[in-house]
Amino acid sequence: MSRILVVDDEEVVRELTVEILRRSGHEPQGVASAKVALELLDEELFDLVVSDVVMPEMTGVEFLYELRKRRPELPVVLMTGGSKEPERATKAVELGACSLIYKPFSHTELTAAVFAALES
Amino acid sequence: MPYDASETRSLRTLGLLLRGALHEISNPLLGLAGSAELALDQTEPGTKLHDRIALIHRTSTEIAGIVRALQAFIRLQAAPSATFSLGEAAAETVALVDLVLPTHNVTLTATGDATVSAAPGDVRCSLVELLFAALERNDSRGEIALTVRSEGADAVVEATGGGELRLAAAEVRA
Repeated sequence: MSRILVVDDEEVVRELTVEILRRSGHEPQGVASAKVALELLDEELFDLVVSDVVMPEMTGVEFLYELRKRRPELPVVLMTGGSKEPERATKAVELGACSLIYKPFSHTELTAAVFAALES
Repeated sequence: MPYDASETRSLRTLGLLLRGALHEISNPLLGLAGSAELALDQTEPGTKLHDRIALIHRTSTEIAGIVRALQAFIRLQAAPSATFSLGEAAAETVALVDLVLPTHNVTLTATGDATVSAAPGDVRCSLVELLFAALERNDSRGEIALTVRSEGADAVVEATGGGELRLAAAEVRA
């Protein structure tokens, strides 16, 4: 069982992602902003972060940049529904994101990406 | 296909609106399809409720497929030039057009292959235009094929009814 931090400002996506991961046997925790996620990561240990890319205040890529300063080894799966991904994906890969999955994804795609990231 | 300035501008505006709409649709659609998939596990198979949730799941998954295919098409427009299979590009274009257009009376296929070095987004746009023109010529009926082949130094895609796209073939080292 892995502890997974889910970051998404959209409640429906956050709750659904948490539920899918819980049913897959993990121990997920959802937060609505990158700022709260960083505070939590300073206090608790997680095995993986699953984060949205397009969020208010701090984007997923900015979050990833801050995260890499604190926890360079922590695997990250970014999820996005946008179509500006070539530039964002390039930045994310440079910053060490394990993978980028596109919304609307299926349960299988999410769990496969999480499995691969945890294995890495 | 030549466009005047105002048509180019309106197409660009439409593209920007479509990109925004696809982004805004993706979250609620994920909630709908994902929740339906979870609910399927929580209802008894064979009951009316299970059947209705299965219908919601199937339909929302179909819509999700269209949204994802359009998002992938838009992403390709920003991709840099690369060497790729024109046959695969033709097959993906056929699949996209099959998804987004009412093609009930027509069978779309893509056969053959050649390798090209080009901007993948430009090539996809040309292939969509080629397919649209073929659909118009054939009144969206019958069988319409994109046939890819190498011809000397060129890679050629020919559409049923005579439309053609010609590109410089990539040099392939043995």
